[in-house]
Amino acid sequence: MGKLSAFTDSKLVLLAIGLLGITILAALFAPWIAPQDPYDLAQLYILDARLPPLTRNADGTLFLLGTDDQGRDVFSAVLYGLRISLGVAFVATAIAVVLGTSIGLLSAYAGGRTDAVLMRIVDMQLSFPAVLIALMLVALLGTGIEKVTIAIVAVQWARYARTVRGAAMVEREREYVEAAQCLAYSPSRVMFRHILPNCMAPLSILATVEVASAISIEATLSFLGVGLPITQPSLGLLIANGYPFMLSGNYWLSIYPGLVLIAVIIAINIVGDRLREVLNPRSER
Amino acid sequence: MREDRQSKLKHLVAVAGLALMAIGVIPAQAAEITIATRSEMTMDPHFFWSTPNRAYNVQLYGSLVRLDERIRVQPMLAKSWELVDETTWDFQLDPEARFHNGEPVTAADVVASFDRALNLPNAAASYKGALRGVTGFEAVDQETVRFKTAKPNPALLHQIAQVAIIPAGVAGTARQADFISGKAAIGAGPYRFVEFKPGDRLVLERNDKYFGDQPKWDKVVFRVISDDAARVAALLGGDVEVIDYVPPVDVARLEADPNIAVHKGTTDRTMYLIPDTGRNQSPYVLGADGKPLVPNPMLDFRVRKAMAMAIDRQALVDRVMDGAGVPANQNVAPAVLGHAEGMPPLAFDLDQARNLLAEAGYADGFDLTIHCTNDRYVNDGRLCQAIGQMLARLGLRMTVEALPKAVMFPKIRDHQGDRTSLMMLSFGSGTSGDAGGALTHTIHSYAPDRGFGTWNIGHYSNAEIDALIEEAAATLDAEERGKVQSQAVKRAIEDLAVIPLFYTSVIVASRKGLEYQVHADQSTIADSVSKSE
Amino acid sequence: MGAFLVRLLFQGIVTLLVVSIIIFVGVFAIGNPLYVLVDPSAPAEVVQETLRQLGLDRPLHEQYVRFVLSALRGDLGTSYVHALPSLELIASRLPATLELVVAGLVIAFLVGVPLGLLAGYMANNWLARLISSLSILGISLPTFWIALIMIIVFSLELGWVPTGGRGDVATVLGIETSLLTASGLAHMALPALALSLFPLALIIRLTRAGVREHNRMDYVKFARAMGISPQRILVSYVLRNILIPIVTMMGLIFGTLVAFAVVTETVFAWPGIGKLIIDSIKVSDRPVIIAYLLFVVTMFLVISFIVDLITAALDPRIRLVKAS
Repeated sequence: MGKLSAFTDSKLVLLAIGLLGITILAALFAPWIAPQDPYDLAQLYILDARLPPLTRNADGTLFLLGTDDQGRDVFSAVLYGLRISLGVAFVATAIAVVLGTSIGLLSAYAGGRTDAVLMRIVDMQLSFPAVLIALMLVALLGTGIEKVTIAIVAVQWARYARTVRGAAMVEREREYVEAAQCLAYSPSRVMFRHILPNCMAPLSILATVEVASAISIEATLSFLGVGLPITQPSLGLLIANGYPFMLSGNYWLSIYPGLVLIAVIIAINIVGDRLREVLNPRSER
Repeated sequence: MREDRQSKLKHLVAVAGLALMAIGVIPAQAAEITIATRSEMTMDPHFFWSTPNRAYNVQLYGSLVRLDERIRVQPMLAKSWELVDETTWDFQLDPEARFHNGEPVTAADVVASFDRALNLPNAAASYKGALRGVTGFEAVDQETVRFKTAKPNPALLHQIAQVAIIPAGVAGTARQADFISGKAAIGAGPYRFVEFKPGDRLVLERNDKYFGDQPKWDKVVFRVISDDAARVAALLGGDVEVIDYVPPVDVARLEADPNIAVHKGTTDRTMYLIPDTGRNQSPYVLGADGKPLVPNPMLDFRVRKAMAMAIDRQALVDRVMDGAGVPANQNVAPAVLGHAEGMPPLAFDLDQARNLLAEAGYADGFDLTIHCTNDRYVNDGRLCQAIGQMLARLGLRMTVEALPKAVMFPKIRDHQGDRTSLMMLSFGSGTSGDAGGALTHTIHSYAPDRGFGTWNIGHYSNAEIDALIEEAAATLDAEERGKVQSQAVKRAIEDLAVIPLFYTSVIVASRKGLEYQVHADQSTIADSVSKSE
Repeated sequence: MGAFLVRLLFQGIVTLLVVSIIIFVGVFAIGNPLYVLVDPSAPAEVVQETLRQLGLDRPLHEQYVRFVLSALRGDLGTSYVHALPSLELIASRLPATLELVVAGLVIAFLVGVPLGLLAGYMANNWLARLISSLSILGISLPTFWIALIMIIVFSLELGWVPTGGRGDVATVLGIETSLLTASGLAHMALPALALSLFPLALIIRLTRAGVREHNRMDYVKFARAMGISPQRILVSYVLRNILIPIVTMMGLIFGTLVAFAVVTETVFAWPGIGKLIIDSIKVSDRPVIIAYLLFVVTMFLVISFIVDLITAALDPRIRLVKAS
C-alpha cells in the first residue's frame, strides 16, 4: 500500500492514471459504447459526410463529434481508432524493445566479430525509410494492421539495439561483471540479470519516446498511402484523412482524434516516467 | 561571339535603365508571375514523356504544332501542313521561327529532334511511346518536313505535338546535365531558360524575338509544390500567384476569399469502374463460404447493371468531389470527338438494383474487393471508399483496397497476374484528341501483339466493337471517324463493358486580378494567365 | 590504426553489398517501374522494347550483376525521371537537407538542454513533469499535421514567414546555403522547427535523466560540501559531464533526421533528399531509390564509426575515474 501511495504522489500522476484508465476501458469496450460500427461500410452513408459536431442527419441520428468525409461518426471512429493505435504502438514497441535489447546486449557482450556483424545490420536497418519497407510489404502482401506493425518494428528495433549496446559497453567493463564471470555464471544470466538492469535508464527514455513516435509513424505511413486499410481508421489514419480538410474549415475531422491522441500520449508518459522513478534501483528515494 | 554581343547589349540596357531611373522616369513595371505547380519538370525535353513535361516543353522549346486549351491542334513552328497521300504528311515550317540563339528553325533541326526523341538511351518513359505508327520523317527542303505513317493515321498531329524541337547541333551533342545547367536549354518557344533548381523551381524569361503571339510575362517562376494543402497555403499566404491542381475541397474557401479567384473547366477525362468480364473465376470474388465464386457473377449483365444502378453518381460528385465533376453516362467526355450524343443517364435506383441482383441469383450478395489507386487521381482513395459503401448498400460484402500507383499499376498492367476483379480508373484523350485513345486502350479486346487493350484490365471482349474501333483508327475524316467512335462507345456502354462514374474537372486558382484559361488536359501554361481587364 | 581502418573498410563494403542485394530484391518485388512511369497511352510494344533496353526484362541476378559492375565504375544508374545520374542528383539535393537537419539539431540543442537542466534540477516539481511531458507532444502528433498547423498559424494567420520553399541561397565555397540570406532563414524557420521536435524531446529527457543521475554522484556531493552554489555545480560540472553522451546521441539522431525529413520536406516543399526519395518511391524511380539507400547506409556507417570512436575516447565516467 505504501508503494502505491508513493507511486501516486502527485495530482498530475493521479490525473494521468485516471485518464489512461478511462481510455483503455473505452478502447476495450468500444463496440458497446460506440453508436456505430465505423468499420462496417454498409452502416456509412456518404450523404452524411462532413457533418459538424452535434448535428443530426436526415434520420435524426446525432453525431456528437461530427462525421468524417465518408459519413463515419467521428466519436465511434475515435473509440475504435484508439484500439488500433494503442494496439499497434504497444505491440510494435514491445517487439522492438525485446528484439533490439537482445541484439544490443549480445553485441556488447560478445564483442569482436559478432558485434561488428550485428552493428552493421543495425546501420543497414537505420538507413531504410519506413515508407519503403511499408511499400514493399504492401506490394507483396497488401494493406493490413500487421504489415504496418512490422514496418514500425523494422524501423525501431535498431535504435534500441544501438542505445542498449552503447550503455552495455560501459557496463561490461565494470568490476561486478568481471565478478559474475568469475563465478562462472552463464553469459545470458550475466547479460540479462546483471548488465541489462543497469542499461534501463537510457532504454526506458527511448521507449517512452518511441511509443509516441510509433503512433506518429503509423499516421505518416497512412498519410503516404502505405498504412492501414482506409476502411479501418486508427487515430493516426483519422488525422491523415482529416489533413486535406484542414484549410477548408472542417477542423473536426482531425482535431478530435488529435486531441485524444495528445491526451493519451501525455498520460502514458507521465505514468511511464513515474513508473521508471519508482522502479529504478538507483532512484534516490 | 554572339553571346558576347548579347551580354554587351544586356549591359547597355541595364545602364539605360539605371539612367532612366536616375532622371526620375519610372519604367513600366516588369510583369512577373509565380506559378506553384504539382508536377516536377524534366529539363531534357526528350527524356521523359508525360503531359506535364509536354506543357513545360512547349513554353520553352516549342513543337511543330501545339495543342490548345481544348486539345485542338494549332500551328506553331509549322505554319501549315498537307496530306500528300493517305500515309504521307508534309509540314511547312514558319520561316520567321527562330531559336533562342537567333538561328532559324530548319527541317534539319526538326529531323534531329525527332531522331533524338526516338533514340535517346536510358529513357524509361521514351517519346517513342508517343510516335506509334510513325515510320519515318525526312527533310524535303530547308522548310519542309515529311512524315510517313504505317497506316492512315488520324492521330498524327496530336502525336507530333508531343515532341519538342531543339537545334540540330544541340540535339547531336547535348548531355542531360547540359539542359539542367541551361547550356543546352535552347529552343524556339515563347520563353527562354533562366534557371532550374531540381525539385524547387524553373525560372523563365520572355523571349523578345518570339515569332508568334507575344509572351505575356517578362519573367515566369514555376515552383514545384507537390503537396496539395501546401500549394493552397502558398496561394493563401501570397507566396505564389497561381496554383494548379486545386483540391476540390478547398474551392469553397478559396472562392469566399476576396483576394482569390478560382478558374474551373472540364477535362478530357472520365472516371469509371472496370468489372472483370474476362474470367469465369475472378480472384477477388468470393462466395459466402470464402471460396472463389464460379461462375464470376460479373459475367452476368444483370449483375453489372445492378452495380451501375447502385452507384449514386450525383452524391459522388457532390459529396466526395465537392462538385468538381459531372455525372457520366459513358466513358468519353462530352467535349471529345467520339462522345455519343443522346445516351440516357445512368439512373441511380437501389431497389431496382437489388431486384436485378436477386434476379441474377445473388440475392445474398457476394464478397468483392474494389481496387483503387490512392495517389494518382484527385480524391481516388476517398472515391473508392464511397463506392465501396454504395455497393455494400446493394448487398455485396465489400473490401476496399486503395494502393499507391507504384504498387497498383504493375499489378494490373502486367496482364499475366491476378489483376483485379473490380477497379477504378480514369482515362483521358490528350494524346489522340478523340475517343480513339480510350477505345483502343480500354475497350478493345486485349491483343498485345497488335497494341490493343493495354488498359483493358477486365479483359472485356466484343468482336463487333473491336471492328468499329479498328475502323475508326484508320479513318482520316474527322466527322466520319467521330461517328464510328461514338457507335463503338454506345455499344460498349450499353453492354456495361465499363461502368462510367463522372467526367472530371480542372481547377486552377489565382490571386484576384488574374484570369486563367484552363486546359482540358490540365497543362499549366504561363501564357494562359492574364491580368483581368 | 591502419589495420583497424582496413577492417572497417571491409565491413563497410560487405554492408553495402548486402544492402544493395536487399534493396534490389525489394524494388523488384514492388513491380515493374515502367508500368508506373510511362504515359498510359504508350503502346505495349514500346514498353516491352524499353524494358529490354534498360535490361529490366533480365532475371534478377543478372540485373544485379550488371548493376554491381557499373557501380564499380562509379555509375549507379540514371534517374528515370530527372535525366541525371542518380548520385549526382542526390549530391545536388543533399545540401538543402543537411542544412535543415543541422538547423533542426541546433534548435533542439539550444532549447532542449536548458529545459532539460531545468527539469532535472527541479526534480519532482510539477513543472519538471510538464516540460518532459509536453516535449513528447511534438513527436506523438504526425509531422504533416503539425507542419500544416504551423503553416496555418505562423504563415497564414500571423504572416511572419513564407509558407514553404527554400528562398534565396548564398553560395559559399561552391555550396549553396540558406543560412546566410534573410529570405533563406525565413523560409527555413518553420521546417527546421518542425524537424527539431523529435530530437528536442529526446534531448530534454536525456539531459533531465543525466542531471538527476549526476546529482547523486560523489563529485557533486563533494562540490556541494565545498559550498559551491547549486547553479554553478549544474552548469560548470554536471553540464560538462552530461553533454558528451548527448552530443554522441545527436550523431545518431542526425542520421535518423535525414530519414525523418521526408514528410517535413514534402509539406514545406523543401527541395532536399527526403522529398527526392519519397517522390522517387512514388513513381518507382529505381536508380534513385537504390543510390539513395546506398548513400544513407554509407552515412550511417561513418556516423557509427565516429560515435564508436568518441564513446571509447571520451566516456565521462572513464575520465572521471582517472581524474579522481
